[in-house]
Amino acid sequence: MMSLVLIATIAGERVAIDAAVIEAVVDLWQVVPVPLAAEHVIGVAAVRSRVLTVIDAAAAVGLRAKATGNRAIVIDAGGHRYALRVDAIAEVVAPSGPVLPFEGHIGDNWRAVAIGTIDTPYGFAVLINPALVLAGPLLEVA
Amino acid sequence: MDDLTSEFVTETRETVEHISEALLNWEADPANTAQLDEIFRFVHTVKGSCGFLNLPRIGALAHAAETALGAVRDGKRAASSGLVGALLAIIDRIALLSEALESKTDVPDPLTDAALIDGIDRAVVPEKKATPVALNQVRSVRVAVEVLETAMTQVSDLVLARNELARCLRETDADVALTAAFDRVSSAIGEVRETIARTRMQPIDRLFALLPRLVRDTANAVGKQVQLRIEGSDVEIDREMIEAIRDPLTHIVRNAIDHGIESPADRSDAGKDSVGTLTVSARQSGNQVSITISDDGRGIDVARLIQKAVASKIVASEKVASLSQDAALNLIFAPGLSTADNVTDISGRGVGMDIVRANVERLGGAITLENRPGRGLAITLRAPLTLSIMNALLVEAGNQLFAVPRAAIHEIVSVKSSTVRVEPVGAGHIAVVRGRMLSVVSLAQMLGLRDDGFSHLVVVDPPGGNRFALGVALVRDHEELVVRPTAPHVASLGTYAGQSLPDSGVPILVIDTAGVAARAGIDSERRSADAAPVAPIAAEQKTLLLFDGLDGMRRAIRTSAILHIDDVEASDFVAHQGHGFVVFDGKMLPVVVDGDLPPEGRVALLRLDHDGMIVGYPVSTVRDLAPVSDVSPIDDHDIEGFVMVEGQAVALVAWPRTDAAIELERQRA
Repeated sequence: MMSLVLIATIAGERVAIDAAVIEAVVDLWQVVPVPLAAEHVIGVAAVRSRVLTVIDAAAAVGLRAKATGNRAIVIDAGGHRYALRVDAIAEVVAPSGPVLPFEGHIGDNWRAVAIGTIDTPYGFAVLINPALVLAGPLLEVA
Repeated sequence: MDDLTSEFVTETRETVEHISEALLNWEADPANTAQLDEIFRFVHTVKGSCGFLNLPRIGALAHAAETALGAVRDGKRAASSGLVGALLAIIDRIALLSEALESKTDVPDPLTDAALIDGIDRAVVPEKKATPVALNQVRSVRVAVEVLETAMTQVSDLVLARNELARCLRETDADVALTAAFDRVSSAIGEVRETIARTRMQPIDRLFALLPRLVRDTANAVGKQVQLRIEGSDVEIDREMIEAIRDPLTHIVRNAIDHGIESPADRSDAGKDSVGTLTVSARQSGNQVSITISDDGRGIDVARLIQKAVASKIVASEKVASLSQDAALNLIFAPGLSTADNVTDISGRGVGMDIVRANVERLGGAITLENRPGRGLAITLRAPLTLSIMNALLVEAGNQLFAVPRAAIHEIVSVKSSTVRVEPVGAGHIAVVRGRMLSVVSLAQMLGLRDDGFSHLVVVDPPGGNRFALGVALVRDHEELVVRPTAPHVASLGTYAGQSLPDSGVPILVIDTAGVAARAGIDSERRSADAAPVAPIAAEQKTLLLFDGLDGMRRAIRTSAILHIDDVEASDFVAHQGHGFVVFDGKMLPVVVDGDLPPEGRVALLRLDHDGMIVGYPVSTVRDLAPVSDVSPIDDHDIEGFVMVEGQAVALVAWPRTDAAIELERQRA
């Protein structure tokens, strides 16, 4: 069982992310767009003197953000630092149960980035692997 | 003590430390030869270095040890304890002597060396064993480049953090004591950064030190006589850069001796000194170093080069006629050219030049050629001094700031300047900057940003590509940037060379000029000679204007030399004291006249730009445009050479160097 997860909202969906892979939770200011980049790449931003690539988590799973905030989850992948912008961030909690495999339909978008579902004090959440979110929407791969 | 010797001392000391265990094991059990290779390698390396550094004493010791060790290894000699003891004594002596090189202390009596060597022959330990010296006064240490790299990265982070702190302080109205303390920290950080940057710098002498031997060996091997001249060996560059340039430099020097410089007999026949001269010079300009390797050999025979390129299907035969001189010359960088007969053939210079260029460009450098057929070739390597800090120009396009690497910038011109003409052509623009035609890439348009037009042209030479003009809305400032690689999401676009955090605290993307050129569809003449003739940017080089001079002779001139062609009244020409002028645009424009002006009517006037000097050149009739074929150069002031146009040889006017023109040049000087 995962010890702690971060509860966040992406495209209106409650998601959980293993707290161990999260470097930080930040408020972004001044995101500089990267012209020509894929739609889910919002741009680059400086956080604590480092330049991060900002990814719109909702767009990255092929959905639309329900709220546009400036909250982001900082993760490290392949030696690069990313800020995953989400609708909202609740808090870090201990899950109420183990990770469960999906039962039934959850949609290809989520299936591509999800590890499973997990029960939390907030209710069931899709446990996602943020590194998979970085890759971008399925549509581009197909 | 020079750098090479110092390196030798350090290396010897470290290796002795490193093999000490092997030595001790062997001493304890002479029959155990398991680690013999390690010891053998050590004395072998020492011997090699001694020959190179001219250290005969150590060399003789190492030679004796190597011979004995070799015999033991081959089973020709038994490893008795006496022999092992004698060998160890020699290694101790080598360590002692090399330390003495550095500390300049107590050099043991050379006579005892002989005793040591004799000890090996007789397999006995000499009575008085040399005692290893204490390692005093360590003056240099070897540091892995990764450690320096990490230190540099950390310092850069420190600088960025400082900048952020500075911004916070500015916003908070901090008190004086706090500000003063911060200033001290700030300047200390600046100093640390400089020191760290310096640890990476070394005089290029370290690189050049290998040249005398390289030149001698290569010249001996091919039976030529070459004199080496080295200039600018005190220029300092990044130590990593020294390593990176070593191979390309070696390659070019070898080629110059093997293929450029002629045999003594051929040189005498050509009326040259039988000893060839190879000059290697380094020069620092801004944050770039340029290393020029020039020889006084035969240069490149472009016609033969083209023949070979056609033969090896690198260039299609029908394209040959439209190849510019530069494009033809650049064929030596074509992969696969003339690998077959590289020994005697001039075009054998092409061997591996593609790889040389690729290596140089990977460093952010460039390589250029200056060919003087029959008189030699000069190859210039340009490389940044360091790999971690970039001088950049900040420009604005589509309301966003971007950085353009300073190294790629040729010049910056305002579109309002009188020497610049920008005209829309199709969906794009073409600029004529002082008579030179350039493709314009609007940065905003190319990046899909809101295009508000451009106020300035940043004329860039992308690595490995053709010069073009980047149209930007605003030119801001220069800044030294610590450039970091972008995430794959951004890097894969090909248009950005990196990202950085300037003092403003707002991230900035660094434009990859080569990537922009590729995306904008600017063909690289150098990359593919075939594609060159259609590239608009190359067109100016390839186009000649044919005309009949006032004397009735058919001539040609490169269109790049022409600013404009106008019709003027014959009566507007005036002559004064042998100098001719034409009244043009209400001004007196000096003219070069090479025949009789018609008494009346209109005359076609070419306005020529010669390094910013404008002169008029009246001609009888403007004929046609023609592509440049090969120019057969001749030694003449007035004309560059002859070109074949429709089966007819036509003189190519270089710069009408009549008295009036010479007088103009003189006045200007």
